[in-house]
Amino acid sequence: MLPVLYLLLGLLIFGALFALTHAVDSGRRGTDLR
Amino acid sequence: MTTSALLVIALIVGGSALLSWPLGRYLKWAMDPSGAGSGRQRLDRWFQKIAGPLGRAEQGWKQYVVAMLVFNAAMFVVSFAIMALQQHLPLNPDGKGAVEGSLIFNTIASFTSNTNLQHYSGEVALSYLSQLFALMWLQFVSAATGIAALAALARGLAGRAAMGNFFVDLQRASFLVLLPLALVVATLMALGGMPMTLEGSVVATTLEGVQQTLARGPVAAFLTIKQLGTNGGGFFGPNSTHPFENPTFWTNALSMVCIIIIPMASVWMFGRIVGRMRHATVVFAVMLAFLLAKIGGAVWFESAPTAAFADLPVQADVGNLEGKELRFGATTGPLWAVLTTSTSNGSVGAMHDSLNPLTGLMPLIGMWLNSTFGGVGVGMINMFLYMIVAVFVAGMMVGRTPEYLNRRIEAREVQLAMLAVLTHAVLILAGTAIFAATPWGQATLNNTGAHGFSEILYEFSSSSANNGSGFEGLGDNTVPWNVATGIVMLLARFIPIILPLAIAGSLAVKRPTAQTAGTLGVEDITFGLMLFGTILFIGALTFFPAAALGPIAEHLQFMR
Repeated sequence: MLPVLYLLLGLLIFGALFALTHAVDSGRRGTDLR
Repeated sequence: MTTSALLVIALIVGGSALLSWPLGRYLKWAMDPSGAGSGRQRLDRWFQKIAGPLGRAEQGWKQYVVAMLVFNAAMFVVSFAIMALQQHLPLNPDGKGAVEGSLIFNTIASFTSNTNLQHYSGEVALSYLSQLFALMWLQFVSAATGIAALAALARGLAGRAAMGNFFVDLQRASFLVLLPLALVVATLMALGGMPMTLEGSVVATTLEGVQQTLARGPVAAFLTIKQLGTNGGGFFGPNSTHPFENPTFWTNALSMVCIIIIPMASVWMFGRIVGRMRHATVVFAVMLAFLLAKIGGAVWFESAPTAAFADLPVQADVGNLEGKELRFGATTGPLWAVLTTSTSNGSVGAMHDSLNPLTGLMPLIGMWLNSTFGGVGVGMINMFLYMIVAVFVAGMMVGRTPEYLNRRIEAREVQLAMLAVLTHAVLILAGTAIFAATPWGQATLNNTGAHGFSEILYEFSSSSANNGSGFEGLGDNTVPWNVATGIVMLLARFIPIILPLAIAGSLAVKRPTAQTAGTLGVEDITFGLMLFGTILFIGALTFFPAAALGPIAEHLQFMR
């Protein structure tokens, strides 16, 4: 298979990691009981 | 265990532990210079100038993580291009040809993730340009990424919502920590007999009159950052068992110190940045206890010949010598095996496939726990995840809201910590299950039964722990192996950095709680035992079934 497809696979994984970061940041915040 | 074995262990582990204290102080000076003198501040101004607009602003956890991912994605693309085009590029005196696509993906994912799993032999497949400017470059920046991430985590836990600037931290770790240490160690290694040249292979005539091609190259430079950065990728296929990559007993000892010293010093750096050195001492003691237990187990289990020798007329009191580099003695093989797998290094000084079954379990445990002492920076980050779980469990036991460093630990932090811990377990166990049940794994085995299962289990454990060592005996340069382990390495590298930084960012903005008589202290032996037990039980509950199917079953098969 063309190496460029594997390059795209790598970028896809980094894309998923960006998405995870965004999802964690926009997720429900703790209630911070005080 | 003989006296000489104890002396070697004391020299390597004890010496490294002692040296890690001043190095930890230096790491704090390099990575978090608040309160340092004007000369140190001037260095930071240079780093900010080099980073340009990217280096000016302080970053919250999300900006820090995004900067880290952008940088690592860019390095992935550039290194991929160098390796894919190596046959057209300079520094290729031996005319190395094109590399297959999935192998490039695996190799670059491997070095970007600080794993250095190698499904190729460097001296056969790669040009000097690929070795130096794709792989060795990644060995520096991937290690620097780990140190930077730990510094950011510690700043967050110290209550600073602005957790630093990734591009400045990257330069601090590269130019103030890794590069100076590498220059000193590489010089010592070259003086110890390691090649350091850009000339191609030489052809020698042996005593029998046979022509032999001897590969060489810039080995000393490559070897040094391989060890200091807990990278582990060898210049040569046989890694540190090759006489050019590990010429003498002293290069062997120095290599082992280099493997463990920055992970140890990372704990002290963490303690200094959060301002809790007694807490760091407790964490260090827990890590050391696990490390010594694994070393003791490995050296003990390896003190008898392998069961296949039972009926052969061989001396039984010299231990298992199969697969050992006998120049360095019988002890250093299992000692190296434990150090390299406890630290996510992955370089090898003996054939792990030849270890007795229970000895082989010790490296697996090191990679499963991945936090005793773990990789540079990231080992301490992994330990932080266990600490969150430990204080949560302790809080539940006494019915109090758990706290860590005077910040309340709530559902969100525990969920993120468990997600990171479980990611590691799922990547190993799901990958092993799929490859053990399909021709993707079965067709690549050289051994059947429990040992074959161990080979598959080891490969996924090594990938997910970003370790990179191989059990070998596995034909792993196939498209399924290259793709699967490549994906595992990248996910296992960055998810356990992203989630802890998110936790630290969450804790940093919380109001500190007052310490009362009911607060679980993190600076005493109770916390140490709680942490030890948490790691032990999570590790055992997660991985014991796999261990039972692999090394334990193999051990029982050979019992008479």
